[in-house]
Amino acid sequence: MVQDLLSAQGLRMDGRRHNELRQIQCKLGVLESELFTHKNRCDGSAYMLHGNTKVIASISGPKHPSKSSGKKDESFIFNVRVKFATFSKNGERQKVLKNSKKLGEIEINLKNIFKSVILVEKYEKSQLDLNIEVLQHDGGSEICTIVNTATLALIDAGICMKEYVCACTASLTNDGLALLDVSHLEEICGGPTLTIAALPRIGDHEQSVAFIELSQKFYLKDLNKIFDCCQLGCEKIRTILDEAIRGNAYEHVNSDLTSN
Amino acid sequence: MLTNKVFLRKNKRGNVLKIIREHYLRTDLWCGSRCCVICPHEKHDLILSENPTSRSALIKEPHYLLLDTNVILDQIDIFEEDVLSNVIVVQTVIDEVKHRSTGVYKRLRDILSNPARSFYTFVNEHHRDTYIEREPKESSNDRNDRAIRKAAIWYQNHLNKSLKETNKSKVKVILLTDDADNRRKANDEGIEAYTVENYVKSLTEFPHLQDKLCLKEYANDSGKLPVYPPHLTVVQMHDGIKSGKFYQGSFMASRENFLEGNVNVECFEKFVLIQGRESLNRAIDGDTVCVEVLPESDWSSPSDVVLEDNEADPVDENVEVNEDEKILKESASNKKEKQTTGRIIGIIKRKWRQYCGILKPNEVQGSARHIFIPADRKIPRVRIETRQAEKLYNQRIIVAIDQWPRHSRYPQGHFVRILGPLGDKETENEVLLIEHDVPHSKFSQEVLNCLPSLPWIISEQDYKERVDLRNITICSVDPPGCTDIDDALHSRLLPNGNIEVGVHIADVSHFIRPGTAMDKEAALRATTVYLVDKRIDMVPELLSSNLCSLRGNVERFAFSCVWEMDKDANIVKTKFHKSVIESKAALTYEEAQIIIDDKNKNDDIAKSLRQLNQLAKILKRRRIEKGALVLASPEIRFHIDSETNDPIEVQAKQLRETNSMVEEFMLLANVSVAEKIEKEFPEYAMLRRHPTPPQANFDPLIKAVQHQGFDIDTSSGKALATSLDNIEKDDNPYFNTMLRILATRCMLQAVYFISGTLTRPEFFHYGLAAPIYTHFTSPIRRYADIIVHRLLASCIGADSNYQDLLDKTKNSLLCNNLNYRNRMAQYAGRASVALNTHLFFRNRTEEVEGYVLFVRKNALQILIPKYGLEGTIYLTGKHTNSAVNFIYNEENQSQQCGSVIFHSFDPVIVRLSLDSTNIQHEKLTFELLKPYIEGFSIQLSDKMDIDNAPQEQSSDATKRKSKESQPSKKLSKKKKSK
Repeated sequence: MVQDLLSAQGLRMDGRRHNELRQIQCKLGVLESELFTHKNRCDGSAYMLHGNTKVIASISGPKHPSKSSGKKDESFIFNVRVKFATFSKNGERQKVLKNSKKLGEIEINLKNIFKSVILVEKYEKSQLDLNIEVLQHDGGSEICTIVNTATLALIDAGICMKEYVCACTASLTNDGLALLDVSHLEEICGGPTLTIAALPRIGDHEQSVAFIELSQKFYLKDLNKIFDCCQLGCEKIRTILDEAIRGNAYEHVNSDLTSN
Repeated sequence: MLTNKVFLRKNKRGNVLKIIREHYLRTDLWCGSRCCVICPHEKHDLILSENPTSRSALIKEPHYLLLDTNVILDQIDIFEEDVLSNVIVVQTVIDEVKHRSTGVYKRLRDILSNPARSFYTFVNEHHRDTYIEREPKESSNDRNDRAIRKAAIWYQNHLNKSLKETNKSKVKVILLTDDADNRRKANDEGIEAYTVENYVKSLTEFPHLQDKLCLKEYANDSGKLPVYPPHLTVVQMHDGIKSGKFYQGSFMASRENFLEGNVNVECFEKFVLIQGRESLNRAIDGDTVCVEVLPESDWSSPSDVVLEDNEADPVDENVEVNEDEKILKESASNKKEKQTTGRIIGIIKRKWRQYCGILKPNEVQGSARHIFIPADRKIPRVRIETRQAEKLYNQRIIVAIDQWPRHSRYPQGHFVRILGPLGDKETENEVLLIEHDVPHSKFSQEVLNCLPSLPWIISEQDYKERVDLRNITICSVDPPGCTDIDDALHSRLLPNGNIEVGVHIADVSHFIRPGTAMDKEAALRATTVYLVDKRIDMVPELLSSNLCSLRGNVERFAFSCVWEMDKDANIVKTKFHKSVIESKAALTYEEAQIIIDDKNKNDDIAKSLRQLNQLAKILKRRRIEKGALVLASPEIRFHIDSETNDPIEVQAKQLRETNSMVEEFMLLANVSVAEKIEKEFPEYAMLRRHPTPPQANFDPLIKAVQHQGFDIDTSSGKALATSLDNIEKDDNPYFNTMLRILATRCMLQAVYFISGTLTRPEFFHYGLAAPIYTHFTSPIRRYADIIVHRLLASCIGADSNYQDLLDKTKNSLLCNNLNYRNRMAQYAGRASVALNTHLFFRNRTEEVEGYVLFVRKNALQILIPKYGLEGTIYLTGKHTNSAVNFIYNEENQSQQCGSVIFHSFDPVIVRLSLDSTNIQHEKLTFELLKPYIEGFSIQLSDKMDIDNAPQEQSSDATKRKSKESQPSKKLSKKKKSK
């Protein structure tokens, strides 16, 4: 399938321009915490639809470390579990990830990303479980959507973090133009993909990157271009997350006020 | 706004998948019209003019045209004409065109990207107001038609709204479609719609456009009797091939017999023979077809009759045809050896292109229907309609085939354009370029935009990045009249007694950056094509003859390969670097030779040249010891009359010591570079190999030599070279050269390849006896060299590499193109020589000395060394009307007639003259003069002077010629061999 990633009119295959994100819809507190038993309680949850990828994340904790989990000497135990629903695939030659190496890799990456952002010292001797369920995935870098959803869930659970973590991908056309937020179709049409998870800059804070991943080779001279594009995407995503969180908080306050 | 595209697809295993893709609809897509006041256009978006005046008699108001898919697919020739403008092409149409025909798509894209044409692309598929969903039970074709109509309606409303605000006159949108149903629906919806035919015919100012109309009819037409059996449907063919009932292959028409052809099917060793009109079933040379093999009892064998389609009147079709077919059957049934025979039952893929040829005069005066005769004998005649037939007679024209319906004996096509008068040199050059698929149009503006602006100045930065060699005595040695100088040399003594030798190659890759339009164009052209009187450049002239060319006494960029050698030409050290040089002299071979030979000259240039010459001799000796072949092919050059551009004199080329001097160092540089890039990029290096020919190829050579009482050892290149050196015949000085010519014919073609695709032993270059080889030394005229330059630059860190440079698949495809273009350039060069030879012999006959090259069953093949010509004297068969009987002896390859016996290599004297009875295919006729055979030979004329034709050496404006026919020279310098 040889197709141009960008048409002469500057549109991509799905009709976006080069610097536009796919649709993002998100919601906090989607799981009712009361429905869960004490042991498996849900302290925060979030749902996100990014393009055609749907993810639900739930947080359980902070809580006393269960006897079975983690090593005793670890002061803060952070467990991540990622599951892809059997019906999640989008048909095109994808396999549902199940106990595969790649799944383990995603889990480890998530663990590292969030351990670096959560204010660990506040949660000594406690345990935090992050459960991710991918309901539908449109190929591509599912880790992006997972990270963004997890960020929302952590905030919903009230976990202290340094900053939002936002993840985004970018690719490169043959003409050397960076494309933001790669869809599955664009990914299989070739072109390298860079994925970063970043703490977007606010005020004087420099943006810092928590995670970076690269598929295929590209030239060093292009790295800056594509990296900047990714960072821009992260900032855009932050705005969207921020809106969702503030909206959610506002709703809560409102409903609290009316019920009182 | 967002919608999801949902569709179902069946995968290979037969599972049905539901695929969901996002499809974003936008509100920021503009209409592109200058009369619009609603859309916030950027300036470069404004393509459609404000007042599109109507030239059509059909529609009085100003209007824009909106096109349907089939209109573009069929009538692209019309839209390429500079007449129609202010045309809207919607995305739906572009997608469909792209899907259906890449060729047309490319041409469409060229039109769209030309702002002067005012063709606007409207992305209706992503526009919020014009996107439509496919309705249940609606076919995708109908959906697309509806989308096109929707876009037309939107445009009409949009323009009306805009014009109401400005109170301007109304601009209409006219839909052009050949689909009657679509037209009716459009009218119902309030859009004016016409067929292209009607519209074009209404353009009264441009009657010539009408000829270009494609004559495709969609409706099943007329009650005419079908001439051909029907083709199977795609599904039937596919199932048949899958089950092994049918076979797929590419069809090759026979050059001699229009009722015969072969299909190359991969799973058969031999070609599948196709005979007779019905079996051929409308296949045209190059098509991918589906064949059914006939039962063995019906197998036939290739006929040896020459049949030309001479049918005069298209009306009495069936009579004569059957006669031809009868002849064919008879001749075929006589033979014993049967070959797999089949019949074509379907066409999988057409490979139609545009064909050059002439119009056949029609006996019926004033009729618009005509028969077109292509220059390529493998192509059937084409029926076209034209109203300007008078103008087209005696012109070379181009015609495209539109379709070949069952009831029509010939395919139907339409006239595309005139090339020029028949027999005119320019026209004939054009024909041979087109027929050899040589891209020769002017460079597009896009390409020219990539050129550096003048005056071109070397910046401080450039000096910093490059090694400064301006003070070294460098000079170039080339053929006279050469303007694209891509190599220069130097040598000097080092303090330690060694010699430094440098080869400096024009740094073309500095100017041609990867991925630019110029790079793409050069990659497509692949090579500069040298015709006898014309050069078709690979890169624009500013580069080839100026900025890249290493001319004397100007500063130029070069890519240098510098060796340190000891006195015996052993390489001590090799380095590569980019440099700035200033050539001290641009010499010709002759001038350089004179400087070397002139003992009184002792300046730097002379010393340097002598040193180089000495080293070159050592290198050459060493190379030949290793088994490099010295081959020969008859090479001639034409002396062209500067006024008329006609050839006035032909002479064989002369080689000097300096030719071989330059060649040796080029070879050395190529080998050094090949080693370097292969070491650095074992997977991705672009190299050149010359495969060892299979022993069977040498059979004719061995046989011919045996009859002369010699033995030749062809077991290896070295053995062959030694044998060739040892065979001499005192009474026939040309004997050895002829042997080398024969040996050259046994060779295979040298080709480019990517190192990662073959194993190391396969890299071998047979002709040069080099384990590894590439092309580095002529980047101005060969694209492969540019790639090699880039690889080398990236090895030494002089330039960054880029993605495609290290892409094995893409580069292998590129190699295929380079090999194809090189081959075609070579053929075009030869055809050009043949053309000029014909011009030379027009109105003249000459009696010259020749040699028998081969003895055939019914003919002698004669070589004329003076003109490098080869031709045939037919002894028996329908080409002669003499009653003399020749006796063919297959055993010792001889023909006998009375006391005269012909063997290979025997000298003869023949008369040459031009046979112009067939205006499209002039040919030289050879007639035997000596030895004289009663009733066969013609009388010797009195004023014969053959032996003392002086091989005068004039260095006047001879043009270069390209001819790559022998491997050993191929590598060398341009005019010497290529």
